[in-house]
Amino acid sequence: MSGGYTGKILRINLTDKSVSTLDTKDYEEYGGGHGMGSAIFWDLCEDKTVSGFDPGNVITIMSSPLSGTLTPAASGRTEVQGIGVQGYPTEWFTRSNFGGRFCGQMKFAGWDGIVVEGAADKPVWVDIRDDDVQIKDAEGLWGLDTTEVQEEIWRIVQGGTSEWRSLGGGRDSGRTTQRPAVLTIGRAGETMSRTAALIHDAGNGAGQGGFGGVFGSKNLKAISVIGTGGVEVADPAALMDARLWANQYAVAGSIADDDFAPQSMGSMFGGNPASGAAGYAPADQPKAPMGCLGCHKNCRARFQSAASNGSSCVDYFFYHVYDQAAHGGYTQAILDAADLLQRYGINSYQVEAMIIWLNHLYQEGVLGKGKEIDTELDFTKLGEVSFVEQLLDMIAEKYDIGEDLHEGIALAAVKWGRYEQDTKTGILPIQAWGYVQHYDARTEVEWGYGSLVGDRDINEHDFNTLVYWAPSIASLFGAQPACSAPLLAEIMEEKLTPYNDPMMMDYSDEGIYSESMAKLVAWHRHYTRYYKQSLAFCDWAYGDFFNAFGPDNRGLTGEGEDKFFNAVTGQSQTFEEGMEKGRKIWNLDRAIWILQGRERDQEVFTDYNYEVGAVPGYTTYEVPYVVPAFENGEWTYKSVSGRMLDRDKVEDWKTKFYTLEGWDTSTGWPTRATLEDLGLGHVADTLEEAGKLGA
Amino acid sequence: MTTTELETPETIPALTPPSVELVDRALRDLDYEDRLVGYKMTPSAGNDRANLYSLPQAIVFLLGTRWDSPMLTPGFKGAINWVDLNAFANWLRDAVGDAPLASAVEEHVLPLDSYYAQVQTLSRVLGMRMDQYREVRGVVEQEADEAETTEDAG
Ligand code: SF4
Repeated sequence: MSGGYTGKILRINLTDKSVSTLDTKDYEEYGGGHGMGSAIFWDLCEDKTVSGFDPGNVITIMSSPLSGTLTPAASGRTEVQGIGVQGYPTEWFTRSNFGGRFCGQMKFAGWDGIVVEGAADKPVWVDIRDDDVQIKDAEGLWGLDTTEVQEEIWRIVQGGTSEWRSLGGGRDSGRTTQRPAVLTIGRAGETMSRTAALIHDAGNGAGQGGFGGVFGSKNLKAISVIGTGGVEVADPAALMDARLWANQYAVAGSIADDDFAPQSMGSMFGGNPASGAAGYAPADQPKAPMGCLGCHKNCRARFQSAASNGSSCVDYFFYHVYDQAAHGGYTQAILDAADLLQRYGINSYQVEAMIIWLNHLYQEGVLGKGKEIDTELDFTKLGEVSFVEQLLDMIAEKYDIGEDLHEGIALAAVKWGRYEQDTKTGILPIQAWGYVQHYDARTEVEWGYGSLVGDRDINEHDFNTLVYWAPSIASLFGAQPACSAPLLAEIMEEKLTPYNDPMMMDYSDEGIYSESMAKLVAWHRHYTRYYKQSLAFCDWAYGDFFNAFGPDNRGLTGEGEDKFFNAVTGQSQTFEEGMEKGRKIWNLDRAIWILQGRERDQEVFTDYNYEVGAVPGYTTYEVPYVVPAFENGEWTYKSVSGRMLDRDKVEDWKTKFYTLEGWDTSTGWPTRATLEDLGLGHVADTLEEAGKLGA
Repeated sequence: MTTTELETPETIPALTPPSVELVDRALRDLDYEDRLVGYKMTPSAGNDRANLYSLPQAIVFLLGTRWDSPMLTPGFKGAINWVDLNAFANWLRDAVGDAPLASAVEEHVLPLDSYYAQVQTLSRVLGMRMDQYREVRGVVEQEADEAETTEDAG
């Protein structure tokens, strides 16, 4: 067994309360995390067409060989997979991911991952202390919010002390001062909401996919894990060297106080341990930086009020505009709203979109007291914490409009007869598969395409910061981004192995339908499946392409990832080999979706993507969208705001993409040759038996 | 590009004072059809539509960006509130009903080179106009108070 792995995966069957192990070695070729999770799901989930709520659904909670090591921004992310319950119209096999320290404790306890099968007949929680695994009655925990349940489990396991202590394995067992890491659900999960999240510590959540509801369906309130071991690193000196080497990409350079040019924007690996305290409001509240295990970047914050600790991204930002509108600025309401979201355990992305959409319907006169969609939800309180509390309570406890919203935003829209019209106008911006748009498929196509040929909103920022944010924000200042368009194309040509095609950066009206764009999307699918979701390199620090601090402005991607992986495991993997593993995992996932019913014809965006462009007047969707484009023989940054997609051209693009991936262009199914080339002959056999092998 | 290099107008001539009717009309809540759509641009979370239903709401939104936050450096956890300022000027004239303010925005704000520069100047223009609104309101309130006092005395 290579370094970094503990060698065993915990297998828990909640139906018969049995505990057994899987040998990690059997899955080592997949790296860890997502790859192992997909392979385990393939092996253990007998009927992959069941609902996510069915006891036959298999959930994997996986670490990576880098978890719990010194690898920066890769030590603390945990990957969750299984059949999700958020997908619409099909509950796809899907994934989510959360930060913190859960995967580290899992490794310290001696486990590379946890597989959950079956369903308990009454509420249970799992108590893991090193090798000792017990499935316990959760009667006393059911009904508690996610903060309360963690505090209660800490009390049970720790006995209220943070002193050095053994875990009960006798005098010579290992010792720890740590609290157990707990992954839990709140009320929304208990009532099996399709929009329920898994929550860990403060501010870490796996929201997309509805895995909180899946836990609820299994009567599983929480998994607690604490270990007294460590992670065996093959070459500790090489790991230390790699970490010191990586510092040059992280903290060198400086930005003058009055300089508004986004000099370092897009330098994903860039950051320092204090960065998490910056930028968060309210400005007058003392806060400290906070991050996941081993991270150099600490992108999150811990507030004096303790509310919203660790929340960042959308769980922190979902309510700030309403707070500002109601109070003239950012107040404690942002933090308290985020805190409630965590405590109920609800997917912040869904709630953010929900509030915008519901408010739209309210203002339109469709929704409200005595209206077509009758509700007691008090919109006069929008901006106050009480509004969020009322809405979340309705969802978690299934009353008023919450009864429908409990099923997720897509199914609520279907039930209310609004789905077709609101996804046609875009006031309900579901891009594909029931997931609300995160970035616009019409402008930033790699994001939209990646989601469309996959299972969910990809939420992978690799290109987003460089092709969108850096040039767009620079344009707001009338400045040029630090990475010019020609330099961006040059760097991507170097870094995007094995395609190495500069035209992958062409987001012009023609470029977005090109074979080069198919290569970009394929590269992204393969890179993220392996490096980010299997080895657990954090999305907020990798891929690092352009780096304002790096040599020749090059980031560490393509070199850094394998430097860390090889130091920890003792292997000598190249980037090309890693990318090929990503392609294998991507094809395995594709095969699972095909067994679930995926066909080419289903891979279509909702109507607004093809039909809504710039609307004259005050309601235009033309948010600034400046992207790289190759036009008239030159690289430039260009505004593409207001662009619509062309249906026929998207179809042509799909054909190019399927061809590149070695899939049947009429069905989108992988061929035997493609699968066998990847060592997935057994997968080809299963698809053939199901009559779903590409020709 | 630094703040000190920004080209913004030194002086902005005062606008013709608004009437009581204009102020009342401009400060009313607007219907769904007359809303102004803005976007909150959040690098860590994406872009989201913000429907704005009154001038005060739009002002709080427009001027609410913390331009000094380190959102452009690694970690970028800031947010920019964005409104198409051409649309904003049209909205001021057609929906809000303050044509002089719309003209001032067109004349002094729109020609500036960048959104950042535009918003800095817009803040001054809106500030001046809101002072005028407050003055008109103050006079009306004072007159009302005086009327009440006279009634009480009677
Ligand atoms: S960058 Fe942020 S989310 Fe990623 S590992 Fe570091 S602290 Fe966690």
